[in-house]
Amino acid sequence: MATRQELVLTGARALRRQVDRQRRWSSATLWTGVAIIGIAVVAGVFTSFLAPSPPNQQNLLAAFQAPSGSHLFGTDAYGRDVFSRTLYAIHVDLIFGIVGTYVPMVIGMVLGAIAGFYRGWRDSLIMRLADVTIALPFIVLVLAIVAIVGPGLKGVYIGIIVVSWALYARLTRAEMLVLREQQFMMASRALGYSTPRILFRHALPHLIRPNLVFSMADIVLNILVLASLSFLGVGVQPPTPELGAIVADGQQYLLTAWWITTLPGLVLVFIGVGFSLIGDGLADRFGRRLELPR
Amino acid sequence: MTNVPEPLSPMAAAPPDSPDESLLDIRGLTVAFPTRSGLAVAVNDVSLSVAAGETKGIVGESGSGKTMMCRAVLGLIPQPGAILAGEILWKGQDLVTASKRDMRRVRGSQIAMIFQDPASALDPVFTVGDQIAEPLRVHRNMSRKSAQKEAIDLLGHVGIPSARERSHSYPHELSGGMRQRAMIAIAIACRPDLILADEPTTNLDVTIQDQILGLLSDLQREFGMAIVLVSHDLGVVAQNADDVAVMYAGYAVESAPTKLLFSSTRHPYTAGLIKALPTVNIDAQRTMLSPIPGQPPALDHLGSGCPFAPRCQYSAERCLQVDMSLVRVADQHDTACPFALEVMSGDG
Repeated sequence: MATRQELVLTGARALRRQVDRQRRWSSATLWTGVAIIGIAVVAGVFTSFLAPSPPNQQNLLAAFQAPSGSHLFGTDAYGRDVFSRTLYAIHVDLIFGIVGTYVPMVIGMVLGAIAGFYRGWRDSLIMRLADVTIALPFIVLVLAIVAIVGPGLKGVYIGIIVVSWALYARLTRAEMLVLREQQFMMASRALGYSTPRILFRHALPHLIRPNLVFSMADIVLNILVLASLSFLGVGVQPPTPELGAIVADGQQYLLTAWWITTLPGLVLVFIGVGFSLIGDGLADRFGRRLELPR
Repeated sequence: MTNVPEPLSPMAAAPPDSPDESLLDIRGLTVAFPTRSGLAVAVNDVSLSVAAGETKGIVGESGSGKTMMCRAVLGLIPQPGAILAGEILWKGQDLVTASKRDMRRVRGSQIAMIFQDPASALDPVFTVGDQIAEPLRVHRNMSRKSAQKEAIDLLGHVGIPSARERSHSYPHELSGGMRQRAMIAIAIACRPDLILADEPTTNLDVTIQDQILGLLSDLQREFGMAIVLVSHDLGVVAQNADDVAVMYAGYAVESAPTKLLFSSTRHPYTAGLIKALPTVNIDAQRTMLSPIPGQPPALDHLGSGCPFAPRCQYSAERCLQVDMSLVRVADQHDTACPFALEVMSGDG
């Protein structure tokens, strides 16, 4: 005979399990992503310890060797160890992904917050500039800037910063427009706080979440942009290892030496999936779906 | 543009009883918003003075301009709106023309505001402790440590149990009454001389409402603050205010010490409000409330004369000529209805 109290307790336990299950799932997404990116970061940071050989060390006698114990990812046309090159490439790509995402994010957030907070001419100026930037296809614009600055990593860095702040500015402005009507924003003015204080101390914490979620997708995008540009020959210059460049180098041998292109390509995919999982997990945790500003 | 405010004479209203003892002295304040159909005058030539330590009640329906008047004091009129005329003298300094910098010094440290809805007036991403400490850090240049300590003291002071633990709570973790207490703690943090309480209890249960109002008057007695208590609830104001100003359609229609306002009402609108107050009476089984018929007028379509005339039981042709300036009918008792003595003599 179940007493009333026992029934309530059983119900409570079931409810608790359900909540836990949901929480665990979003945590699982997040932590899987964190684990993948964690491995990538370790590989990127401790590259010189982990890599069996220097990235550009050639050995023409050992060219086109299939993956084995001594060459995990095989060797390429010059007999370079693809695994070592991949590790060095992760280093280059991760730094690019992070710098190329968070520098524009900070610029975009500050400009977007100013546009949304003040409205008026500041808003018009900043947002028209953003419109122009977004109106042109992303990669074409970066390509044009790289063409002006000159090929190489520096050009891609400048190109990506000049172009990708605009999406963050738009996202932030949209959030700011909602935020500025909130009563606590007026309350903070009623308390005599200065405008910079209200903008950066009170508004920013509310604006950072959607930007953080979007930035995870953006890192993937930016790494792919670098890879694409390198693939096209205007990004990282040979012989510097970069995932896109390695993939580009190997593609002509795809039928005879599949590993040169496929294995670094898979690493790129894994990094992309890792960041996406973190983005999804964060979005779940923040209780908001990722919305791309377009 | 049907409704351009009448030419203003700063002393159109009764002169302040004695200008040197009033802390806040609003003279001929006019606040308007441009709308598609004309100029909506939210506050129309209102004069009001608040003495140190007193509680001034402002009563009116939604849209009567009471909130806008409070915001005008702090220079927080929302965007297209503007102060068209009038002075807001704070300790002799005109806040209408004050620089942004001077304004910031007054806000929060000398005049603080309590908002209607503490759930949205508290910043959800900061703990209440941080939010109480912040004005102290900004205005009093306190160190983080001492501001936090003071914040905990303040939380205890406004009647929040286990203040130390609660100071680490986020607003959503507190109940409505607790949030309003926290809001009050923020407002009194810098020991302001005046608190503008804009409908401080409207969103709270009646029992909590009494506690909050009691807390406010305790704090007032302790710190000697003046309070401007804005409410649509005549009952709330009657219990707590020394003086009451009744607002209607942007005008101050009657102003008197609370007792006098109830005992010898001198404006038909005030009389209507008093009649519409529900009373608990067990014996009389069902007392019908007698509401004021009709709706308040649209502020961008005010005709000439008394805006209350269409709803007034005494309205007549001559009401269209009324210029809404306050007439003194008794000591400290002003009304905008020049016929009040004549038509309402039987009342009260």
